[in-house]
Formats: sequence, structure tokens, C-alpha cells
Amino acid sequence: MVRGTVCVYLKEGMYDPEGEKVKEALSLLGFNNIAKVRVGKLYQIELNEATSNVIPAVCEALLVNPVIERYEIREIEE
Amino acid sequence: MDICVLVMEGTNNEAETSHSLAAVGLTPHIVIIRELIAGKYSLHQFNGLVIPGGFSAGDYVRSGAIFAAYLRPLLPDLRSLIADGWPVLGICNGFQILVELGVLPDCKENDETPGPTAILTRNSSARFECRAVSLRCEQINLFTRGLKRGEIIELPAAHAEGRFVTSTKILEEITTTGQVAFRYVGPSIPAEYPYNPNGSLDDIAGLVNRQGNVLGIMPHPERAFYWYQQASWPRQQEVHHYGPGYPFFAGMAAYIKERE
Repeated sequence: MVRGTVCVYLKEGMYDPEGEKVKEALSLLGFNNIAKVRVGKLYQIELNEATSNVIPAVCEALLVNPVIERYEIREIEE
Repeated sequence: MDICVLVMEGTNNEAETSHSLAAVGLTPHIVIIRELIAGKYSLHQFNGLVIPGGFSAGDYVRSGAIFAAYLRPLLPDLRSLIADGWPVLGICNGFQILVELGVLPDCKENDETPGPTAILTRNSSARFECRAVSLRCEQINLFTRGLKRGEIIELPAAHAEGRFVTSTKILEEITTTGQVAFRYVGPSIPAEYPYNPNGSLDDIAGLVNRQGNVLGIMPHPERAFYWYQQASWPRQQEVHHYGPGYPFFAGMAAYIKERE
């Protein structure tokens, strides 16, 4: 089985309202040393059989909007 | 004059949308996307398409992304409906779907490599913005023929992901080709928050394609179809039967009638 982890992040420079809110909340809790928080999304994908390039295709077909997002893939074969 | 009101799980504005369409003499048909995929219906049998608001597929992944993925195999049918000149209206989630599909903005880049060239993403305020907003009509097309260019109308907005973001190049293209249909208006230009409720680039609230028959708009005309649906109606001196959302549907009906 092939397992893949896809992390979808906002591209550098893209405003991240969710990250800002998390940072605000953390500072409210007394964590004043936090310079920046960026929020992303993580997908864990399991394939029935090892097929190459399926996970990048999945990212392009649905998981990522390339206008504001970028992604990283970690594939693990078992 | 059959109009396809396309829904999937999570769509929740089909009733108001269908009511508005029926009230101007059109015949709305609520079609579930799976029925379209299965071939029970074809886009070719309709004289127009409306994708109503809501939270299709729970807004998972990104708002509109899953609905757009379902619709993508049917893109040739949708493109031919558009090329034939029939009206396509995407309201709120419907607008997000048209953007995720790459139908709006209507750019040269999309002709070559279909895919999104923009996004309607999380509001700058990180809040669900649910209130009336003022919009300036920037362009006259079949949906806005009942309005005047520069006219300011008030429509209800209700979204968490409405901030229009695109590249400088695409923004320039949509501006020069007259695709900005509506902008948020405030006391200053650009309109600051809360007048621009989501932080949209260039205050963009609605886009129209080059041909002028595909409109995507974040605020809800179907929720201001009647005068009394407006938040401000008790304070207004004039009282009418129809509200500021009416011209969108009346324009659509008049246009379809002319074509038949």
C-alpha cells in the first residue's frame, strides 16, 4: 500500500486571516512571543496500489487552487 | 423557458432562487448534479442555468471546489450552453463554483489550460459576513439591463469566503475587457471594511464574462427579490413591490423571451 501525506499551504505573501486569528488568540492566552502563524491543510491519502503520479494529479484536480496555494507531498511505500 | 437550478448536498438557496425565477415567468427545474452526470438531464435541454448559494459539500477543501470537480466533466456542455448565448448565473456559492471551474474570470489563459485563474477565499475579517452591502453596477448586461451603469443597490451578503484574489495580470485583463459587473461601495475608493465585507481585490463583488451572459455575484439578488426583504425597507420613504434583486431575474426572463 502507498500512503501519501499532502500539505496544502498558502503561498508566501498571501494574507492568512485564519492564521492571524490564531495568533491573536494565542497572544490572548499569554503566548506573546509568536511572530507569525500560518494555517494549512493536511490530507492523508491511501492508495490501493502503487501508482505513480496519482497524488500530484489529485492535488491539481481538487485539493489545490494554484492561484493562492502550494503543496508538498510525502509518499510512504509499505 | 426552462431554467436548470443546479444543486448538490449543502446547496440551500434553491427555494428562493426558484421562486424568483418562477415569479418572472421562467420555469425552474431543481436538478441534482448527480442526475446531470447520470444523464437523466442534459444542460442542452435548458434555456439557462443558475447555480444557487449555499455550502455545497460542506465547503470542504475550498468553497465550491467539490461542486466544480463534479461539474468539470460536463464543462464542454456548459461551454456550449454559454457559447449559444444562454444565461448562466452563479450566486454566492454558485460564483465560487464558476471561479473554481475557471469559467469566471473569462480569460485567455482559461481557453488554453482550463482551471481556476482566481479564487474567492476566506474573508479578510476571518468572519462570516452576513448583512446588507452596497454595490455599484459597473456594467450593463442581460442581468443588469434593469439597472443603470453607476447605480448603487443594496443586496444581502452572507459568506465566509468571498475575498476575490487573482494575479495582477488577470486583474488587468478582466478590468480592460469590462468583466467587473459589481463593486462594493463605501464612502471612500477603495471601499474599506466593512463596506467591502471580505477584502476583495479592487472591491470586486461580481464578474461577467466577455460575452455578457455569465454573471457571478457574491451578494444574493434572490434574497432581495421583494421590497420588504431589504434590511432597510422600514426606513425607506418609497415602497415598491419588487426589491433590488428583481432586475436580475426580470432581465434574464426578458432576454430569454427575446431569443425564443
